[in-house]
Amino acid sequence: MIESESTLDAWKKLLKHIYDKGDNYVDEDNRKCREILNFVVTIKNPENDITKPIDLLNSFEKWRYPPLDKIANSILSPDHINSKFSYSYGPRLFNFSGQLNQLDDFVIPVLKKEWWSRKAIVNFWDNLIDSTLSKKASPGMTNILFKIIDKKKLNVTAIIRSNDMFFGWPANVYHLYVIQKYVAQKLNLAIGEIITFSFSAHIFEDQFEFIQKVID
Amino acid sequence: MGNLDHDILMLFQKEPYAELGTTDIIKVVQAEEHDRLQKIIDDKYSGLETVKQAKSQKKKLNRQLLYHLNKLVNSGLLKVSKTSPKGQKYFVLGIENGEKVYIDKHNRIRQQISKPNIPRIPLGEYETKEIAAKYEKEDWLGKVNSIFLELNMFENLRQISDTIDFCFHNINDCICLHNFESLVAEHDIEDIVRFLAKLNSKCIDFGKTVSCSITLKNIINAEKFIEIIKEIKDLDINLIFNIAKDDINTRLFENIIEQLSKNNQDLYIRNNDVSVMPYFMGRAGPYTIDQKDWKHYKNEFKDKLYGFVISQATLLLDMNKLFEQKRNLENVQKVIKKLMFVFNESNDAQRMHSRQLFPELFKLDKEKGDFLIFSRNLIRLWNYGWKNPEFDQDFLYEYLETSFKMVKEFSKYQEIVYKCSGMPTRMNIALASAYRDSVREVFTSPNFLKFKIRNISDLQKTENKKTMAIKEKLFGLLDGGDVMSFYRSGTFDTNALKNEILYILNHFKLPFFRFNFKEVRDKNITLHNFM
Repeated sequence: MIESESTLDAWKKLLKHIYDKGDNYVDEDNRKCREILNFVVTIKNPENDITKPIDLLNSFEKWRYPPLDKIANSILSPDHINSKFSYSYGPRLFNFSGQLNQLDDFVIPVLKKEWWSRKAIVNFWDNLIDSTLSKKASPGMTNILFKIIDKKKLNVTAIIRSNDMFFGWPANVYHLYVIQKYVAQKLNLAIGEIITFSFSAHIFEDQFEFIQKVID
Repeated sequence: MGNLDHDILMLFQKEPYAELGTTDIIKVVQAEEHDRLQKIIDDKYSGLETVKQAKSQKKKLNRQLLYHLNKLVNSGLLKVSKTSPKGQKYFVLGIENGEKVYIDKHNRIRQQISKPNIPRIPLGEYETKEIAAKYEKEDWLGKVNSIFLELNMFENLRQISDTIDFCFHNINDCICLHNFESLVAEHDIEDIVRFLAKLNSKCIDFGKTVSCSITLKNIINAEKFIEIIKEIKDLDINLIFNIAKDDINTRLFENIIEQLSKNNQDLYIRNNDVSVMPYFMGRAGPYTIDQKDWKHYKNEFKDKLYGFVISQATLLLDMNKLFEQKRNLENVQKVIKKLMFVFNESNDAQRMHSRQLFPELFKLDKEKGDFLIFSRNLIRLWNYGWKNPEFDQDFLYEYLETSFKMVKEFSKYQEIVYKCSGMPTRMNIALASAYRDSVREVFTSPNFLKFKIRNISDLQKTENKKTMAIKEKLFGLLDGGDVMSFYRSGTFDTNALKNEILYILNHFKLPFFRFNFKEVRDKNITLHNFM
């Protein structure tokens, strides 16, 4: 388990932990990976530097993340950004199965009614679409749980079934922050912690060179 | 604002980047009346006087539409983008990217027409110094470059024709008609010739090209096929023959050679023993599909798509101009890096706005398909050093290999970061060679030699073998599309030409090559074997 006040520090620590202690294996795409299962990371004050990992990744100039507003929109928009994306988190969140706005019609009302509730959960995995044997892109993040702490702040915990901790985790926590802020504003709460539970937290051998630079 | 003005604008609102001719517009906004009149004209049982009246009414309909179109042009809502050689005007929305305009229908309904904001994405100093350029600058992102159509998916010629029509609105280069031999098998010679003649006419009108991809061994009726080739000799349609060594010693192939060489038509050959991917030609240069993608298409998407986009945007690079500054790897890496990041933005924009940019192309998705699923962005290289006697061929391979690895790695990483950002999307960049026509007005003159051959012994010369050996290697790096051109000169008979082609197939791993006959002196080509 990793805990840190800052997003960037949490990221560096988790990368080092997996790099030093992870188990090696080769995945279905023949890529050499290093993995730790059931890995928990807590960011205590995400607001201060939530975009720092993405900024650092962009500074390598070997790739470029989409602009932050587009990343935010991918989880805030109920429509498919366009039909040429295999899936988007936004429609799953705000228009699940074409029927349910999980945040506005469930999470926010349930927390308004009972601030202590442990039922405030959203689900990204749609069994009717994703539970199929044919290989295609499926959401990595499967659930987010919302918890109000001391009636003052809102924590979010994400369950991520398969997590590329170098490229994926920085974008995942940014997504979480965007949603956390969305709900917190509607409930008049402060931003609390972000916790990620990665069932498979892994890094790839072809990332090691860059991971070393991040850790150092 | 009247009904017709409103309907015209709503048509452009649905397709804000479309370029539509009066014929296209009338078929939609006055569909009923147009179809009624057209039916009378096409009906072979209609009386002469009836047909005459129908034609007159159709002309009146056109004039009426033009009146309204001109009104909209005067108001700035539309503008004339071009006029075809036959005098047909083409129109585009007159508003700027990102602009919104409110229109009133009968002063009651206020509706908005708008154009999505597609970023301009400058190429910086490379563009100002004419080292790099956007292919078809005005339509660089508003249209895709090339589309592949699988003819076996269509039910009839009419359906194919209609599909080609909307494809032509959405491309700035070319279309490939795959499995053309199956179309020939199912229709009369007359119908095929008429279809191709109309197609050729559309190519001229729209400034596009078409390639027919033909697998030789699948041609059922050889005589019929040769008859068609004879009939279409004046048409500017590329015929791409997919052949293996076994196909060479056939009367059919001999007759094909005879006809094409006699008519000064290029003979394009895809070598089945080296490549399974389709190759075809556009004005920008040759096109092909990634090998893995082709396999994926055949295994999973063959029945789900009527066709798909091969290439969505192209950037041109004059390597000669670049190397005038400095001929080193660092200079190449810098420009490739710049172009990669430009494509990152353009790829995002095109896919993000695909519904508004290419609404008609969604018709290519038959069933849970995706017409952009195999699409690539191309960097076409001009004067890149091959066949330039003053260019170090080792450095040629070195810089191309470096560029190839850069674009592949970048494509891979971009797909990963987009997927991780919750926006899984395709990002693929490939290198390809550029054709003279696409660079004529922008770049330096050709600085490479034509590969001329007079007979088979020219193919056997050491220096020529060396040149072709380099080309073999380059095909793997220019995997967006490349072609080996042989300029046949002197005199010959079909037997000689056949042997030359067989020699190439036996000794070189060239997936795609062409014979050009424009320099042949004696046009009296004789068949070695009579039919």
